[in-house]
Amino acid sequence: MVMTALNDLWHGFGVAFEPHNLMWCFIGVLFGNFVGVLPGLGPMAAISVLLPLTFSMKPVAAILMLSGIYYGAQYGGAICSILLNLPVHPPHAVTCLDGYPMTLKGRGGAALGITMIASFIGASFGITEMIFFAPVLVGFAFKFGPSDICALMLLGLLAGSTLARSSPLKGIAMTVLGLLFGIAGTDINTAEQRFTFGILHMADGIEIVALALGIFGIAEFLKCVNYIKPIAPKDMHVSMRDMLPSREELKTAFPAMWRGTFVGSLCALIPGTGPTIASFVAYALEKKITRTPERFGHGAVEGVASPEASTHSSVQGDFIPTMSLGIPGDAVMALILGALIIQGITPGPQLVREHPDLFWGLIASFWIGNILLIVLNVPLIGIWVKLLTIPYRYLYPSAIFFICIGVYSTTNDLFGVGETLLIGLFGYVLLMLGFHPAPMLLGFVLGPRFEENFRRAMLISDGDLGVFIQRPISASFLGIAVMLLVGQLYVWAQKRRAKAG
Amino acid sequence: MSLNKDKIAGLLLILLGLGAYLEGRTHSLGTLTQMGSGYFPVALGLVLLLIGCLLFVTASPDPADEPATQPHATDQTEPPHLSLDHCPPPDWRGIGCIVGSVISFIGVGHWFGLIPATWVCVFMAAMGDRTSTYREAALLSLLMCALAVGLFHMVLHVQFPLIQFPFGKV
Repeated sequence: MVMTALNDLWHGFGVAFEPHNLMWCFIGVLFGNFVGVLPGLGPMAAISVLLPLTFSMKPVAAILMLSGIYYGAQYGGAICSILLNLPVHPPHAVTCLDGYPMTLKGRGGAALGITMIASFIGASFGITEMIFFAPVLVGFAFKFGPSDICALMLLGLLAGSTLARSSPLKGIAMTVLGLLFGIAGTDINTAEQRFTFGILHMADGIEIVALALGIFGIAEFLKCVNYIKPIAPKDMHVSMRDMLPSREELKTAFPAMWRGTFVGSLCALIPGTGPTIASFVAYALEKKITRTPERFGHGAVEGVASPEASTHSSVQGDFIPTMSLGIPGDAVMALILGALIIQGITPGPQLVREHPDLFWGLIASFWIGNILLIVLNVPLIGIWVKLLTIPYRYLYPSAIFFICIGVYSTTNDLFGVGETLLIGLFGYVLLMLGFHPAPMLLGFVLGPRFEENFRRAMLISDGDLGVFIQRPISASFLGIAVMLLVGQLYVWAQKRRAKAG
Repeated sequence: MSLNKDKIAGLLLILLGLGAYLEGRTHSLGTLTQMGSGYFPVALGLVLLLIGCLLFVTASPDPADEPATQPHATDQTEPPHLSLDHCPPPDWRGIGCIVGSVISFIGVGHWFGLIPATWVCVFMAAMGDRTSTYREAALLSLLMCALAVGLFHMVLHVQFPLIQFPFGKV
């Protein structure tokens, strides 16, 4: 088992080292690092903007690049948190707590250095986890029937929507709305037009690009315009020498990195718990087990090392359910899954067997990408720090143009651009009302497959809903889902009581 | 009874759920064994309706209560990015310019082609920021026009006439 995995990985390196793939991997991590640094642009917007450009690319190159943006952005995201105390990238928000005090004490460079080490350790562990765990999961997933897949999707959707930010109720509402968006267009079973309102363009359904760019692009810009202040370029000099942590700092940081890595890799395996939750859990754990909790919030090294390691290990591990089961854990993974579908690749357990070059090439590219990121970040840290000062007033107009032309190029039609604008305005209204539209994308991507599998399960069981609890696999998934809901309810009730008392 | 954010959110969901339910009813429902094309939308619509009602009922009656659901800023283990969760009041100039810029991309693009559409779109969007100057915005738009021609037209071969006039291409 181990030998086969290593053998396949060797093959994967062959794929990833093809000059063409290597180039796209490099472009992906470079661009990801770039958008990660910039406040006000995130990996979601970046992946959605570049998604249409990948349509003409080969599947392997396209997925390597889009994934590169995602994990590359995690390297850049920490810079903003540590040096400026700007928690604009959710997984790195917790790094602000101790990263910024370190900057105030003049150890900002060292904090960045520790972040880089922690990132690499975390990512390496996440990748290793994927190498050995994903094939096992695939073997298991082949036993799934339609009802099991349905139950798993339900679990993924529930976890993705309730564990995210804001209230669980609103999260579930967003997922259901996403499912509805997903089934708009021509029904595959009956060829009936649903939710098309007689518009011919809608027969193909809503474009994933239009939805993603609407809610992560336009809606975000509508919310942030004139609220992101330009950053003064003072105090923004970090050189490579500054990044060297002291021996004492390393000594406290190393065990914390391993703890963080462990937390992150666990979080990656639970559907719906992405890097953001991993980093908060890791920080809370550090604070709990330390003998000197009073140092936290005043520049404790562990408070930087552990969350960063857990973020990176969970980012890499995030790919496990997406690539081996075809069930994305969060909105970014839903986008990657969307890219796979656009490339004509059916996501699911058969992906590893049918497209080994894609699966193992992707894993190999993770290693290459992470090494490239270290090379990019350590000597060039000064340049990335300078990039922080690019004002928002240049960024968002350029991004809007990219959105317009990107959506246009998917269908060669201006209708899609209008669709994006409408979705963007709708997304902004949702943001105003305290919703987080990200789970919508999860529902959108899974919508048609959920309906199809549900239909199939009902056809096989002759309309007996009991099949979901009779089959052990689906019953256990549903059991976990129920536990999740009960847990959420409990937390909600506690909060309510605390508020009342 | 005052309408706070959660109440409006609940109402919106009820409306959307009702819409999905009514649209779904125009298709055949079928049975659970042989699900028709309307079955799934109707079910989802009802779920949305239910969530909307729940949200409406559980919404805290006093808008002043709302910040209390957010953790105290002094508690350091709580996510500091919750400030991100708070949507600031709308900035009408920015919103107007962004919406206008996308609409003008569609309109100008339809009649005049890619280059004018890019210029107008970027210029208008840039003017949404209160610190932008006309000069800066114009230069940024020119840069984007160059990118439109260089990257999207020449490299990626996006099918979009560069320049045209409503009464025939030049």
